[in-house]
Amino acid sequence: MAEIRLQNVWKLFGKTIAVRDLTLTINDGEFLVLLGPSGCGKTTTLRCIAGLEVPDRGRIIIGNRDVTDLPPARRGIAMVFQSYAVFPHMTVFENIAFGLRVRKFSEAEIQKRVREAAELLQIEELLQRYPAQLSGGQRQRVAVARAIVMRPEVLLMDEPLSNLDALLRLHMRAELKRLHLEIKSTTVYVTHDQVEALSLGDRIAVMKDGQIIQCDVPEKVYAEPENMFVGSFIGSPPMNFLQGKVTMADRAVAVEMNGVRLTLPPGFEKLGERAGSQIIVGIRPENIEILREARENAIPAQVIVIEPIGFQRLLTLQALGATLKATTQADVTLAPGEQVWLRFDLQKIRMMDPKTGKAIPCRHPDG
Amino acid sequence: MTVNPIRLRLIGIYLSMALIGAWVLAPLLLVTFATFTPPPELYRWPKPFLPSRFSTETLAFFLTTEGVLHSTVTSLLVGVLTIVLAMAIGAPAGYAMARFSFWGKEGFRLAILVTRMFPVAILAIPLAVSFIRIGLYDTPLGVAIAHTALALPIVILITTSVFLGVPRDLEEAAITLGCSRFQAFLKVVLPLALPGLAAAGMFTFVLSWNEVFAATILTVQNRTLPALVVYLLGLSPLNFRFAGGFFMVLPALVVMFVIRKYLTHLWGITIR
Ligand SMILES: Nc1ncnc2c1ncn2[C@@H]1O[C@H](COP(=O)(O)OP(=O)(O)O)[C@@H](O)[C@H]1O
Ligand SMILES: [Mg+2]
Repeated sequence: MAEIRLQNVWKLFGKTIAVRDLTLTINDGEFLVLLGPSGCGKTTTLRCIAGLEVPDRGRIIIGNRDVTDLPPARRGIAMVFQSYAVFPHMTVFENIAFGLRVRKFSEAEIQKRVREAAELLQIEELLQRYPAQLSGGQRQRVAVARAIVMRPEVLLMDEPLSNLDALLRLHMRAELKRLHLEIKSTTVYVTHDQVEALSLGDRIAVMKDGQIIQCDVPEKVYAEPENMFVGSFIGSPPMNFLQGKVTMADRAVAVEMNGVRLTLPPGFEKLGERAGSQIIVGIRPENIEILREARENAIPAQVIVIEPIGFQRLLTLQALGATLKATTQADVTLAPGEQVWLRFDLQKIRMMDPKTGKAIPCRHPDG
Repeated sequence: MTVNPIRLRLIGIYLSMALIGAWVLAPLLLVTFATFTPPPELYRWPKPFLPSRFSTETLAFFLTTEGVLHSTVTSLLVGVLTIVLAMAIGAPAGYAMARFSFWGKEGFRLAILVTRMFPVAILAIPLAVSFIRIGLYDTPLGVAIAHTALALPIVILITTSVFLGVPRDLEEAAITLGCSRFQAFLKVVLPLALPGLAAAGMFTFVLSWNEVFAATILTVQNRTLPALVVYLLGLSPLNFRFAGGFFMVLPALVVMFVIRKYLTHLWGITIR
């Protein structure tokens, strides 16, 4: 097993900067998810680790070995491609055995390992078939089996579930998680699907424009996004962002939004330094409580759309001159057009700087 | 009742296709009929459209004519040598065109086609002089070298499209599983490209089998079949000409039938 260190890695394609000064340490045995929108450089980063691309600058270290100039074969990695890349002219058995044969394992060892891997992925019955006779989901399993049969120190996966239908994707997601617990390879997993990232990752590295914006455990990335991009990219529906102005009244910090004043609880004192300046208040839909009557510090709003989403309801609301999303329990009876009041869970709000879009540290770490 | 204009256009398209088809096929058909007509019937006037009985006498006459057998063997030899040479040079070039981006790639692509602008005549005569000097004149290898030069542009174009058709992912998957670039080529790319490469090989063979000009200039004793037929054409009776034509066209027809799939694919790629 091995730790992976990327040090100031740059990769350019002509004038396109695919990876920009990326530094990241992936711990031994960790399941790290690279998450970001299409074109942000996830695949390129993964291919740099694999050795399929050579970085223009920077070093890549796997398990204390500088592999920057080594070919893929000598890096101790295995990769699952987005397209699966299952060899069409070989049976499933030969596909899985391919890497072992290249490395000249004994026939007995090959038989043993291929059967083990096939069993782990529940494809024992398919070993004699050709890829053309397999479904997409089965091909995907073959691709994973072919990678893990090598017992790689590092397992790389590029959007392995993106070509499966929704139900199968859900199933395979859990399978991959179970697999990781069994094989314990250091895993780098690329996806643009935030749900996948939240459910699989020990940590999530959120990427944009070739850079890592935030890298942390899923709970942190979700609850404390580093900037507006992370807040809006993770979570469905995304975080709400409201314009406001910091004010001070009786030594209590407040935010004034479209004429409505929201008094902040103790712990936001540090924000007082910004009194008079513009600010953006970020709040997740599930942290907004819907009230039937006016209360102190509650914001008047009007219900516009109600969408039942299983056990919850997704509300679209008009408040403070903006459109907000909030989720409530399904048993709350509401009608479109109804007047309600919103109470924000002020422990969960996130203040952002409107110019940089970055989160403002305004509370004590434990506050 | 009004005529559907789309239907009318379709009829027009099919009519013109039938016309073009007939223009190509009618001579082939006539030559084929003539080949299997008994020789006396060939000279009758008016000549019957269909032979009265199926006869191989005309074909047999052609095949037993002095020199035909030797020329056929020479032609086969030249064809095979041309395949070997053209594939040995053309396939790696096609692979490079399909997989790598390198400085001057577009220029190279253009240059490949530009070589087709030189008429064989300009190529063949200096070639004959050089071949006499280095002892390749009047040898199958000499003709094969000239044919390789003629075939290379098309071979490179076809093999480029063949290698483009093998997904790069497969090659990279092999590389991440421990192969070197060359091993990945041998174990994954080559098996998948083989049908397409075979098509390119057959195409090369047909080109060589049918080529007259260079073959005529570069040989005296060891004539290829077309060179011999052209040489004898003026001196020979009708039945020789028909049977000769048929015998020469046959491999081309068979091969074209087999590789047409790859040719359309080829144009699909170059148009894009
Ligand atoms: N082989 C390549 N040639 C040119 N540009 C490329 C190549 N690969 C990726 N890029 C560019 O680099 C950027 C990052 O691509 P990629 O890593 O594939 O993004 P992602 O996987 O996050 O969608 C994109 O702008 C893409 O167009
Ligand atoms: Mg990608």
